[in-house]
Amino acid sequence: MIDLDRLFREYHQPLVRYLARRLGDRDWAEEVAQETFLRAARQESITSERSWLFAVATNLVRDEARKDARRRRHLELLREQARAEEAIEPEPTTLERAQEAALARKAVDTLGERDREALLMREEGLNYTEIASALDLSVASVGTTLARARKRLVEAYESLQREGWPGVGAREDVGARGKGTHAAS
Amino acid sequence: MLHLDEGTIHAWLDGEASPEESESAARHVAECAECRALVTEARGLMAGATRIVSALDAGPAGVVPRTQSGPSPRRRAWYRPIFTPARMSIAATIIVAAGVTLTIRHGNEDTGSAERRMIDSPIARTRGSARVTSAADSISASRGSLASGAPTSSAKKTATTESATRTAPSTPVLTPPPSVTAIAVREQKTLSADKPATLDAPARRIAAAPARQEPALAATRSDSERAKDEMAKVAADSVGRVSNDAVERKRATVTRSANQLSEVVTTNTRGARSPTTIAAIPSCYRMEIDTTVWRGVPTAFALQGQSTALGDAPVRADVAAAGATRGGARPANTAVAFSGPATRAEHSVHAVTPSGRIDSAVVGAWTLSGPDSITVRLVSAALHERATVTLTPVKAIVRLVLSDRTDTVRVARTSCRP
Repeated sequence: MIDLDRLFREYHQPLVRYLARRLGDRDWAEEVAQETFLRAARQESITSERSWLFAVATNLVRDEARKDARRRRHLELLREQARAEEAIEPEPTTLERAQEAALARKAVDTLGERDREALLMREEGLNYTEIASALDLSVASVGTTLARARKRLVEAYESLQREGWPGVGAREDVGARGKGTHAAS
Repeated sequence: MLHLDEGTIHAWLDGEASPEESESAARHVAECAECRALVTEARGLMAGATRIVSALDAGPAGVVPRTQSGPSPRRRAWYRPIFTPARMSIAATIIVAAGVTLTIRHGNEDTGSAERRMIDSPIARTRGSARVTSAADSISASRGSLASGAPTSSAKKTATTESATRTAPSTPVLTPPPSVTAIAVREQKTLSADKPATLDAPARRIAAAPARQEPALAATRSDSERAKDEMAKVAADSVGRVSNDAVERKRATVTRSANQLSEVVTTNTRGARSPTTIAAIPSCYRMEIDTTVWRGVPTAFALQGQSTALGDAPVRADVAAAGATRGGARPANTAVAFSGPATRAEHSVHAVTPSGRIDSAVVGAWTLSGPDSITVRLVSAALHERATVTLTPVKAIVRLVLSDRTDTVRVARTSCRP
């Protein structure tokens, strides 16, 4: 039988974080994560726990994401929220956070579904084998997928910044800041 | 000369390449300027992508409304009422008191029920039946009945509103004004407050996904395929009454222990549009890293508030700690506090000895990378490089990034003294 306590202890937080980043809604992420663990509880055994959990969670999200009305409503709410935050003067920390999060969300949403999922899983520490297993990819193609996702994400983010996406001022180049951090080998 | 492709470069930098591939890549990069540039670019993209994804964590909760409409017709067969009559009475009273009502007309005897209710609203109605979406639907359905029916010829007209919408004339569907929807959604949430913790509408919707035909089993199957099989086996109404007490308790425990940088805050002068003060940043941290791999990277470090450029002469810890006098000794584990523009200026990082003493030598620099995140760059003398780690309130495990490798490491606050 599955040791649910151990499974939960090890994977709940990264799974919720992955789902929250994927969905843009932490409450929703918690619900999907809970559903995922309920299904895991019914398993006799799971060979590769992390990839199994992320695969089930990803499939649950995809099923929900196929409902167009919900996605449209999600985007509409984000826009309304951004407009509402511009109209009032909340604490700057909240406003800045919301703006950065909204900008990041918009940039992430420009990625293809598979690229986005692979990138978010990698950011949660899944290795290439786990990502390949969770997303039905070959291990050899994960590197290419991540390269493409990272490039497109940074380009989209910088493009949105340059366009002066609502409420966000010009910022330093995200990618360049990263280049400066790491010395060439 | 064959150059490295992007996928190979990213796999190498992610530490996912085989030993032979890594060695080959390292050799090639040392000789090829073009590929060296690609590697540098890839490092920047990886760091940038990590920063962008981390920014998603500041997103809001509850953005997507949990219930916009009642259960679909397909699901009504298995939808079980979970609201008690008492709760429904409260909901009905609140809705009526709000002054927004809807009229539900029953078209035929089969759909009539003892639960029939008349709610008046300022929405235009035409002849024929009207099926009310959203608010009334979800509430009525919970009583096991849904007002719907064939058109009648004696529909009662009420005042109109701007938001009234209609479908085909034979079966007009009236959309309640937004206020009714909002009230109903709030009531749904209120009524759902003490429902079984895991088995609310969203979980049911997930479970009610159309059952998939179970695929033929192959000799070897990926986790993704097995996960899909698992989902296909779950019937619409089988999700539910499994006890989730253990799950809930563990979740609370994990959440509490994860907060490490919980006191990073930026405050502002009343009315100011940008943060002006950084306060209460826990100063000392210890990382669990493999020192044979991360040679020379400090395993414990202390954040300081004195501005300095990286590489300057050692700087004394001359920072006024919260509650301490300026220039005085700083108590163990004291938060760093200083005032001034909350810019992205760099501040020095000092090593912490195994005994918890803050060393005078500067081993890196930190900067405020977000309202509640700090990026720390640590110099490794042995590797002649800087390792970067970003600290936030919610991450106990962070990514430690070097030029040619990354690792996930655990970071925790630690006690220290000057």
